[in-house]
Amino acid sequence: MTACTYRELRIEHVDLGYGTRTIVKDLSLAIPAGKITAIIGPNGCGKSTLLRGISRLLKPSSGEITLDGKNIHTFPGKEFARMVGLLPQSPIAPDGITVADLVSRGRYPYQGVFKRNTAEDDEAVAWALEATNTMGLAERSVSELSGGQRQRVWIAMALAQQTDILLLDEPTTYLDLAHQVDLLDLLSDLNEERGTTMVLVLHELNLAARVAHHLIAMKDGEIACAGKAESVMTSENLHRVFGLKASVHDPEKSGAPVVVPHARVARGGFSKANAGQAMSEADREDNSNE
Amino acid sequence: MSQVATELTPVDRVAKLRADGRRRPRLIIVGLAVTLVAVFLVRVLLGTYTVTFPDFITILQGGSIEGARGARYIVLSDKLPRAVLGTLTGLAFGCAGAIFQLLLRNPLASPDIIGISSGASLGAVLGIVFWGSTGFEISFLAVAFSLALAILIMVLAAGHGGVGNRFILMGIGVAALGNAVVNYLLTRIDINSAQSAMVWMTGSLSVANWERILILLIALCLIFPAVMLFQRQLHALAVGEELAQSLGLNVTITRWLYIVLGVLLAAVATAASGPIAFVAFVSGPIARRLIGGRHSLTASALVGAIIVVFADFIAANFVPSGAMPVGVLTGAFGAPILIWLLVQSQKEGRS
Repeated sequence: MTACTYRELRIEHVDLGYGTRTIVKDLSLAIPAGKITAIIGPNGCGKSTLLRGISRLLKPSSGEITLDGKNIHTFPGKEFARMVGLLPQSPIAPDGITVADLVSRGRYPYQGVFKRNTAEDDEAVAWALEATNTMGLAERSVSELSGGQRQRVWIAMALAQQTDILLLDEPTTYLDLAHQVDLLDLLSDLNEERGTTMVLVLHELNLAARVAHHLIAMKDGEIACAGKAESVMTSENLHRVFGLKASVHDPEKSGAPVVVPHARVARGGFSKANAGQAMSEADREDNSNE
Repeated sequence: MSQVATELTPVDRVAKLRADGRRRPRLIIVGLAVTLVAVFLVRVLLGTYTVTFPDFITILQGGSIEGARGARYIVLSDKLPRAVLGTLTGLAFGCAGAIFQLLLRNPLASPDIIGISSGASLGAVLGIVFWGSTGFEISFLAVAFSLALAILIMVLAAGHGGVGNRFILMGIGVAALGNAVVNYLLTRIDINSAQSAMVWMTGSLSVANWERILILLIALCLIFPAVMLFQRQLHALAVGEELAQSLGLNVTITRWLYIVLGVLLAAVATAASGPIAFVAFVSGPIARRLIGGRHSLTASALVGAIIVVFADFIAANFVPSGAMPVGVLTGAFGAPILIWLLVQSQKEGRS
């Protein structure tokens, strides 16, 4: 498959929210083209909201998001869908659909009322199935797949869309660790082969550090810190962003540090005083989050 | 088969799967169309006043049958119009039900359940009670009131968040309200009006005449092409709103377009024959089972027509105490099918 075009995606002083509630506040950021960017942060920090903003599901109440210098909301629906794809957190498989059929849904932006499946569409679908190693499942019904297989099929659908930028909202949720690693490696491979720009929202910090070239840590709707994994993933930052007490190691000196939360302090028993201190500190963190 | 498949190139395999995937729905649709023609002929030719096929052709060409002058009258002013009206309303109900079920992603979503039919009944009964309406006035009021109730449901269900379940819940509420008013009115009118209102509300093809058929036919000729033209968009919605929108679909326009089309289909059909119970509700799931799990508006419309025409044949010929409104029969058979569907969907949910 042809290589991706590098596109410049910029977020400039953007406010995003629902109704009168603003979740992302005055956020500015440039997404590095051709790289994998992972957004991390505690629950409710606005990571998914930001992704919804970039994918046009949510219109900024102020500021603008631009693609190659043009406000993303000025593109026609299908034209935008040929450049930017999204895999939401819980997509729905239509009743009775087969894998090949679901993956071919990704071709929607290339088809019109009268322009139906072409040889080009078949090629894209075949490539997506091969790339995600799901060709063997092609004629199976999506409802009978395992969680890991199903997530691969969804990724295949997003790949069939052949966008230069791919946004993924927690693509590893509900998968076991082996399947999480597997899936993220698949994304890394695709990024290397095609140069697809990817933006992932991830909960799992160690995996985020492993897959991403660029990490963005968010807190309270703002960017707390951003950069390479070794500069973002520090003990101080984790405490500041997540209120998490952890040590950070890089045993393989790979630039992908590993977070190890501090051992649990027993509540009761000998270290009562310590436990009390830890609790009150966590409480204070929680309150400052509100 | 998989051995053959592995020899194909990936692209050919995808193309082959796509072609294979379409074969069964197409076969089923052709089969349903043939069944519909067969049921239609059974309705017209058999039963009281059995007519042979050559005689039927003679009658259509304007001739009469020697020794059975009454046959011409019975066929042209009773059996044929009933079969045609039954086909048209069945197509409309079947299609409307499938639209709502696909759109709202819920097998319970059908015009019977979500207040569209109640709106039509309310309009008709109001007309009978207050203005002594008959014929077309009733039809007009039925369409007007089902549209009005549909708009009321849309307004109540509007607001952010998924429209699906809100729409159904509001619809059930509005349906209950409409039925309450209808019941109140029925207790306040004289027994003859009440009976004609009841017959209308049960759904009956005995009102069939060519004028009525022509009006319904024109309405359907306007609505069906729109329904078929944007089917792809409707099916694209089935992956969930977020994903559909990020694939470049205009979710809001598609959704409202099909809600309006579905309401119109149900409303014009109800206006022509009264709400024939359960047809809209069961056609979609039956069509889905036949096709192998997927939704198909065409198959569902055909199933609806087959059900109505066949049920009318039974109701007109095999009920001991004489003819019975078709809606009574579909209602009686619809209920067990509803229970069966609920059991099936429970099983699907578990697996």
